[in-house]
Amino acid sequence: MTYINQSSQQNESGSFSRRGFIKNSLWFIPALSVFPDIVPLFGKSAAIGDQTVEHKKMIFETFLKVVIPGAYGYCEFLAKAFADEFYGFSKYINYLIKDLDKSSFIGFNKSFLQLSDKDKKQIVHEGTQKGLLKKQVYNGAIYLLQLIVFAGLCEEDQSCKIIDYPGRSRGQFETYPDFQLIGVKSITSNGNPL
Amino acid sequence: METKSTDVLIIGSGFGGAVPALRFAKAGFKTALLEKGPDIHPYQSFKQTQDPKYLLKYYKNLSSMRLNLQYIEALGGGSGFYEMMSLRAPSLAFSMKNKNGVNEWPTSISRQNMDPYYERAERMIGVEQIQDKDIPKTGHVFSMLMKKCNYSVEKARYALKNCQNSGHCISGCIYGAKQSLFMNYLPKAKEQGASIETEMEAFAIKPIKYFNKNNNLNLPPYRYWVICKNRKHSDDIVYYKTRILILSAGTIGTAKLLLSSKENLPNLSNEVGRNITFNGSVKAIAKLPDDCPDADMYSGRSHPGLVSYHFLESEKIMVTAAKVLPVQLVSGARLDTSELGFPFWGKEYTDLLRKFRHRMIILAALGVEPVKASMSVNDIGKVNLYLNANKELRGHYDRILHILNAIFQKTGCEPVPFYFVSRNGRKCHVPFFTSSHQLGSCRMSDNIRRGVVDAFSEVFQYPGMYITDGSVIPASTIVNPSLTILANAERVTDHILKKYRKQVYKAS
Repeated sequence: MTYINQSSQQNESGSFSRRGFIKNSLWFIPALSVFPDIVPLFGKSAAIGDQTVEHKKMIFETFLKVVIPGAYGYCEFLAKAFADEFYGFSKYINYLIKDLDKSSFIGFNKSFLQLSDKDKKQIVHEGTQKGLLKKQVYNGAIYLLQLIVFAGLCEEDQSCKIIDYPGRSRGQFETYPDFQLIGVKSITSNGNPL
Repeated sequence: METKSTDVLIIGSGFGGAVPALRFAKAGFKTALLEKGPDIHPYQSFKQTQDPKYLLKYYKNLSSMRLNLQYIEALGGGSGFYEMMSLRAPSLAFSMKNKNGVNEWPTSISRQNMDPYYERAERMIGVEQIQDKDIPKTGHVFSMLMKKCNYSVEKARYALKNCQNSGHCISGCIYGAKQSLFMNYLPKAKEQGASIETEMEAFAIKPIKYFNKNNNLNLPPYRYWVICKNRKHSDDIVYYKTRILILSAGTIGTAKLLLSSKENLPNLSNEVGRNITFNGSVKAIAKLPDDCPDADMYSGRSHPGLVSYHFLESEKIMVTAAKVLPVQLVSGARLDTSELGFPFWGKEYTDLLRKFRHRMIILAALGVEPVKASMSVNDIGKVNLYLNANKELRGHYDRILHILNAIFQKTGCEPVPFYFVSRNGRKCHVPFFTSSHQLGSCRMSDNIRRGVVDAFSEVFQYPGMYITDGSVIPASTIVNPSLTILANAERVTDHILKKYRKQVYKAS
């Protein structure tokens, strides 16, 4: 393969990225800036007693539990992550919340909060499949939720009990006695290949 | 703008850079080492976390449609975050030939004459074979599967001291058990007087054209300017003037620096940025059969402790088990649930991930790939990576995957489909390769038409400029390449020191 041929494959290009997979995986987000009503959900306006914000929080929490059943729900780290510019989702969370409710009213004439588990699942499933922008937002939100929850960032010891991830080491290493190694052939004297 | 001068300037503090830093400083040369990434303090810098913000401070990647290469930007390079596997490359790797029957390595280099340098490197970083009590459950399960197939298994070798088996090797060892370069070579280099500066990014090299050959009878003349950005101080520009220049910024970093400086270095070989080998990493996942004991994906050291050379001669690959953390399962490779009839979220998916810890095994085959990747740098310094997924590469991928699946079949494991997630968050095309074993972008060779540096790593046409990192290793090492890079850096540094000592002797 010559260098000239390779250079012509412009579509196979990559680039250095400071934020690597997170930033790159949410590549679609700038396209959403055409929506004028998108504002951060977890900003300064999230004061206690603010009904709108509370409602949004409940929808967000319900969405989380549909995506990751057994998750503890709204937590500070999750809120911070969704509001964090590092992850790039802060401007679009409001769109997601509004769309969950809007789709629920269109499909079932109810708020997302009032739907049965099966119907909630259907709304989320449709969100991940329909409309170029919509599916990208839904998939991006699921991705970020899984990233934060499964990585144990919502729990103090960095564990994730719902998937049995033990988190920080507390000297809990357990292994088998050497019975699994008995009778195994070895062809080197010290592990180095010849 | 600041100007500094030094006898030896080393760019990069990883496996290629730490060795010359120590050896030159010890020999009395004024030595400066520049590292683009942040400083690392063992015991303080690291956290046992999967927080992407923390990981991405150090982990960087370069992606294309078919290949993702991962590397580290930090003091000690990859040594702070690797899985500590320290194996010598097999003799076979040094005698590899290309399609035209030409040796990939320069003819003067063999495993036999590398062995003394391997030994020295192993002593420096404390390489030992794993003990039975430290083999994680996943390793035991791997040995059981290989035993069922009647394949051989070896206990792997690691650069470790007092391992706590905490299982967070790839986020950095908080116990200081991993013998990273900032635990040995780099502090020793500092003791010997080397200056080590972090967050200093070299972005251009310029030869000094009219140097005075007789400016100092005991030392070679100043030959190169290296222009750097000081990232700590709002990108202040610093000029370094050096007599000997050693590039060790890694396979991607060194090639990027040379390609960016091509205007100043017009006689460079056209091979810069080509021939990138990535150890042809192919992976497969399966559910364990009911009669098999539990594996444990999330505890014990990050590498399962055992390797198999059963396919070394026939396929030029090493087979091992692999472990991943949940964050890698979400962001790098996802279990493909479409065939199982549920989406990648929801109860079924969460249940599958719960099972993943104990009842799944990942096999990885590392080795020689038939097609190599290449990279280029555009006018604004953006790096592009290319891998041509031609028929040969697809055939290779299918054949290796077939070997892994045959192991599953023979042992009653049930393969689980999965796919890689590309840089734009989408499902990657098959075949797709991910690796942190990239080598060869400035490979050594017996002549300039085939390589960038000679057998002693001096850049063709540019005397006094050397490359000592993985970019000079001309072919896949089949096993993890860190020890080979370290040993080669020892070999090359020995040669450079002998050469300049000789010059000093002649001059005097």
